[in-house]
Amino acid sequence: MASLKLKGYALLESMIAMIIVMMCFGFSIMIYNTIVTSSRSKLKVLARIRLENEALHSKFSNRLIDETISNDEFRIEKKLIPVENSDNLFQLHYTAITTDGVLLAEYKEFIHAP
Amino acid sequence: MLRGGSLFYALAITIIMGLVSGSLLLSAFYTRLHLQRDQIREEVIRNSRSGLQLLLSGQAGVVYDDPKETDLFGDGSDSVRLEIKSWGAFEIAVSRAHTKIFSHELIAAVGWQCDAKDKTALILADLDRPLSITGTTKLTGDCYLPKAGIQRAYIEGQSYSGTKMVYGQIKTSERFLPKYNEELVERIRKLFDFIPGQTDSTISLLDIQQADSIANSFLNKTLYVFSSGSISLQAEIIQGHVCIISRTAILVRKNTLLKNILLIAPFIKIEDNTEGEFQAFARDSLIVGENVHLHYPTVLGIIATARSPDVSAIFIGEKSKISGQLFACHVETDFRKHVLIVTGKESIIYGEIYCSDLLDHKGSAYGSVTCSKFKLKTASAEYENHLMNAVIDRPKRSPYYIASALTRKKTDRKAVIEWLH
Repeated sequence: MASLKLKGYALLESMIAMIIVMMCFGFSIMIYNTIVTSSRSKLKVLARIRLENEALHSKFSNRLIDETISNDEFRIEKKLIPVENSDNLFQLHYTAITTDGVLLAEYKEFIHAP
Repeated sequence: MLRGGSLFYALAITIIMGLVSGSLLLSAFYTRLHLQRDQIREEVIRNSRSGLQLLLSGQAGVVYDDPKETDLFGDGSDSVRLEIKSWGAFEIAVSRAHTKIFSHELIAAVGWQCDAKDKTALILADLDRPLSITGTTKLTGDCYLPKAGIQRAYIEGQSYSGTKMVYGQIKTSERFLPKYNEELVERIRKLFDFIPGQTDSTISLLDIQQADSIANSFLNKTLYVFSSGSISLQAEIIQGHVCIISRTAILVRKNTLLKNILLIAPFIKIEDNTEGEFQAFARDSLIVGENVHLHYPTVLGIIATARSPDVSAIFIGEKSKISGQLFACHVETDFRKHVLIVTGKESIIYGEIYCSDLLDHKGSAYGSVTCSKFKLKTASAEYENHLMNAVIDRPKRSPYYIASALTRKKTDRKAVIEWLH
């Protein structure tokens, strides 16, 4: 009768393999975390798009006043700065700032105000 | 001695995980790079728009053909190169924003937008003669007329058919017409005596006749086509920053397509059924055939000098449509010499007519008309300050119409006519 004999790994060998795999997983999770949960860069992109939309809206609706627009994640400050020696040329200036005061995005453009 | 079975599996898994992590890292790196580039690109485009606004406002301090590098917002990060070029009756504004990796330029033909409240249809100089109207003549808009006023006339068996003399306000005109832009007229006049220099870009007449099409960007220097003889343009497409100058005559044949170019010659003829969009300035006469369609912004002008004949004229053929401006003036004060604009029957001028002297208006002008005197020539006689079956209708012109710098007023402001490349 033929005997059934299982071939196993040595304990030390298995432990080294497990350590290598664990380290690898660890690094991967760290990298994944850095990439996926880097919320500030996501927020920066979001802020930039919001500023562009706000500027577009202001220009087309002729809403040319200083104002602050608050948001859950950041606030937008809008300023209309007159250009020296000009009656109708203004600098449209937007900043998006987080609640803890970090500047996320800035938008500057010269516009003609009728 | 260790056996390598499980270690082999562990290394294989490690390599796979490494590859996955690496690709994630790379993807994140490129996404961030793409976003950064996108942001810079947006900023550069915005800066070129800002530069153009600065040019339109006149705050940039840029003079003709002398580009100026400027820091837009004064923080050293928004460099823009601004340039203004004179192009016939218009200006070409070039705003080029740049960073280390991107550049973006906006090129625009610039004109002057008049005050929205201005409803002027007609300015007729007060030379102590009334304006007489007959037939189906209709004046709509504010009319500046001589103190002698406006009256009905009976000519060639026709009497005035309208219910009101003017469908708008009647105001009193001055003895002298609003002044045209003398500096600009002088700049155009100098082109009649143009001789290409060694630094000018030129192309020979033979090359232009052999080529199917010629295009020159407004970013480049002006491309001159110069001939001391006459130039005939036939079956060609010529567009952009091209100036065609002849010492004698230019003939534009109907199968030629001209866009944005400048024609300068003592005598210019545009054949029947021609289409295009260009500026043409003649010294002696400019003849536009029948059924010609010249799109906005076209400018046809006569600049009469000491060398011009006694009457220098623009003739607009019947059923032709010109969108833009007809302009005639004489730069020398010689009372024996006259400039004349003649608009044929059923012709439509959408925009503006300015003649410092005589206007024979038989068509329709959707916009404004300014002249010293009307001249009406019929088969049997010639009349002074008479209009027969003519239309001047200011409300039919778009409020967004942008005129050339030839007749700009102080209240007008610079505006973009069209985007060029």
